[in-house]
Amino acid sequence: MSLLELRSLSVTFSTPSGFVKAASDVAMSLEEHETLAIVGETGCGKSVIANAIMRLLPENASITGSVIYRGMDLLKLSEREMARIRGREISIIFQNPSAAFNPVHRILDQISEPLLIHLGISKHSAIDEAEGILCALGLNGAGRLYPFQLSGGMNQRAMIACSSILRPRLLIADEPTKGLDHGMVNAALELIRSVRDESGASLILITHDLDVALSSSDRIAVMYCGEIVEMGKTEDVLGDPAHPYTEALRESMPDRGFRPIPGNTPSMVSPPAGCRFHPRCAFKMNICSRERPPLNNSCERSVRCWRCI
Amino acid sequence: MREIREVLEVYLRAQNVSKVYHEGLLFRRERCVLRDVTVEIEEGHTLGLFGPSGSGKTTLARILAGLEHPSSGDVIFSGRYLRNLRSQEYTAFRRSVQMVFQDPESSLNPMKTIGRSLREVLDLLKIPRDKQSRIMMDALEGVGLSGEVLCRFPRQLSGGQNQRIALARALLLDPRILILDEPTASLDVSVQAQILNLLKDIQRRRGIGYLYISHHPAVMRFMSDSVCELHTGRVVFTGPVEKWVPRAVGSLDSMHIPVDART
Amino acid sequence: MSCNISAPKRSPRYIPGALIFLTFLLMAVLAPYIAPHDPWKRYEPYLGPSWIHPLGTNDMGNDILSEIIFGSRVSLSVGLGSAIISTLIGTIIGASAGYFRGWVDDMLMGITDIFLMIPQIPLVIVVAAFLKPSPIMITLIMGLLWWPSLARIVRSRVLQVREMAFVGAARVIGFSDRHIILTDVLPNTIHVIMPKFMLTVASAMIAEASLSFLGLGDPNAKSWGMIINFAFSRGGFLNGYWWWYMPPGICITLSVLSLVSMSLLLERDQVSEHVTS
Repeated sequence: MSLLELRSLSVTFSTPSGFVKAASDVAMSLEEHETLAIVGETGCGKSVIANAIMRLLPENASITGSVIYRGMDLLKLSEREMARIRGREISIIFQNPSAAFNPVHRILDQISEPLLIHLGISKHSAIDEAEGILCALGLNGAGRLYPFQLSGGMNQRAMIACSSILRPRLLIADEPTKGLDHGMVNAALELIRSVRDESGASLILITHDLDVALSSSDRIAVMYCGEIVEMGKTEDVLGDPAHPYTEALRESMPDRGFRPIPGNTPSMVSPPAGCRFHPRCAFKMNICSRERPPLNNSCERSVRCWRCI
Repeated sequence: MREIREVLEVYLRAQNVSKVYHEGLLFRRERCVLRDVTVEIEEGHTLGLFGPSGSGKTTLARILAGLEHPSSGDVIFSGRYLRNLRSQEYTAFRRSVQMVFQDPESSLNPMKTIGRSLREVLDLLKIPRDKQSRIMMDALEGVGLSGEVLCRFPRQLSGGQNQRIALARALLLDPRILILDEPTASLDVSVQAQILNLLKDIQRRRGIGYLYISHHPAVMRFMSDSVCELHTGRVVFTGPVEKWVPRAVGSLDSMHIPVDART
Repeated sequence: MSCNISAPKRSPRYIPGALIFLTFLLMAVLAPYIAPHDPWKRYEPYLGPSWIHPLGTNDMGNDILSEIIFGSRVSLSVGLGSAIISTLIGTIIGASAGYFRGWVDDMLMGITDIFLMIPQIPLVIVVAAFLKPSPIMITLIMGLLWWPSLARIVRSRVLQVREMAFVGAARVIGFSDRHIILTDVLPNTIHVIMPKFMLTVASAMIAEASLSFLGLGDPNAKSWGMIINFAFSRGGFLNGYWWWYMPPGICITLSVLSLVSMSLLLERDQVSEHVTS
């Protein structure tokens, strides 16, 4: 049985300008010890999925479908049961570590807090354990400092320590490399990978950078405009993209010479009819603007495109 | 003002520029952000400025754009010292050197419509009202946008669109030198590809000189003719991009812990 | 080319406060047309409420309802006037200090700190006691004393705004400092000025009422506070003439409450806007 399974998950936000369909009909599954990358452009709904799994969406969101974690539907749990899952079973690494920490508390106190709340151990031993994990991540002595005294990279380490201190079975990293210097990206990924391997957790890696996905994930899901357009083994999908969007995204990467995708991302309030990528697609056919292609499943690769039927 | 533009070749040089900040409330400490930096931007060429965060790239850009004064050293604009410019010459400098900033969320005033942000620049240039609409449409077309954005506010547009408008606004002044402070750092890779290609296209058409700031080696190679690499405020490399090998800056704690905290 | 910009949607929670305040404002503007009698004309004194005099008459025989309607002019204009003066001074000083920084900042904030140290209400009382008290004098004194806290708030917001990229861009394009402060910096500071402005109106109205009640106001300008003072000193309280002292008290309370509620809502909306952006 998979560790986590999303079944036709849809998230809609009601805003003054209309209903924003942030995620429609998302289905994916994650095995134990597996890393799944979710890639796509800003606003394609990848962070919404992370927040839907953690049940951290704002009040104006309506969710349908189900999120099955080890046989439980997370969307049906009470808030108290969910609080027990957050941090202990599933934990999230946020994208802006300097803002995710409370600036008026010391790093050490914030990292040991999950231990106090979830395990109920004494303050003294919690601090000891937090100090241990900080040392293991190369932050000796930094625990006595406040978040604003650390650099962005060091806060990122502390954030990873805080998210993994309870050894969760599922780690979600939401754009962990955004805003970091190019030189630091690999170091941050290395750290996340080592934390994942050490605690035997599964990892959902949300990123817009295909290089990041390629270097650290087993499987990949490419999202466009709230839908999964292609999903499969990372090397297969990025090595030989089947969906025109994946192909175009790969071509815009630095090592491919920054060839841009024509056109703009469509509005999420009224997405294009039929295939949502058809206005920007180089291989457009007649059927593409009329009917929405299904997510076609064949030999470990799912593609949402009429050409691949 | 005509004279400088037409007769001389326009260039912008920072010569032995240093910048020191004083910080601390009781015990004044000096923090040296730039030490003895010399760079030159010429028309039609792109100088790439590379370095990790905290290396002083943005400070150098702000000094070159005239937003801050160097603690020592000089900024030279087409043979004239920036601090000695008379007011008329200063206006010429202001028109000729423009800057596009990093953060697309705040690069335009959130309280003004796009149309108003563009129109006030044309008013400053004393362009008559009846010609303004035409010029604004052309400017937007030049950066791949249509006229319908004129009535929108910046928050109603995407980061990439805002950055295009900030670029169009700077280009309205017909600058000879454009300072680009990581304009794509917080954009998606696919949008980054669009903007980078747009910038190259504009340079081909208009022959503007760019100072392109980035921490991404691949972006640097794609954009620049020559590269200047900064490290903790010092120049560690200058030369053509072909000969450039970025220094390895691969550790998460490559940045300093504050001195007073290291007890 | 013109744009149709729809006004931002305000939540209906503003309606009660705005409605009450607008009613008082209309009452002040239209006083000569809606007041049943001339507030200085004498009728029979100490009359109870009746159809001719809905709130009765006072010791001099003046119609109390007409007094209250005309009194709104004094109370509101003192409140609004001193708030406008202090907001203007505070905004100019705070914006200049925050935008120019350096020695301008040091000097202006030094002056602000000196003003902040002055105990305000006692000073107003002392000045009002020594000078000939008139509504204009009270407005001026309060307006000139109450700007420092606003100046500090505006300065700290301007310090934030001036570091934003669009201010840098405006400076690089070559706009004058005046243009940048007026069109770029201040419109992005208005969210902190408006709630503070409304609170200042409210507290100026309360201060004026307290001064008048203490007998330090101008007896010829019958504000709501002055009416209560008359009721107190001329037997209205002792004899239980509630129609004399209750209505002006209710007017003061309602107008202050409406201002405070709008101010709080503005502040809260601003917080939620910041969170979403």
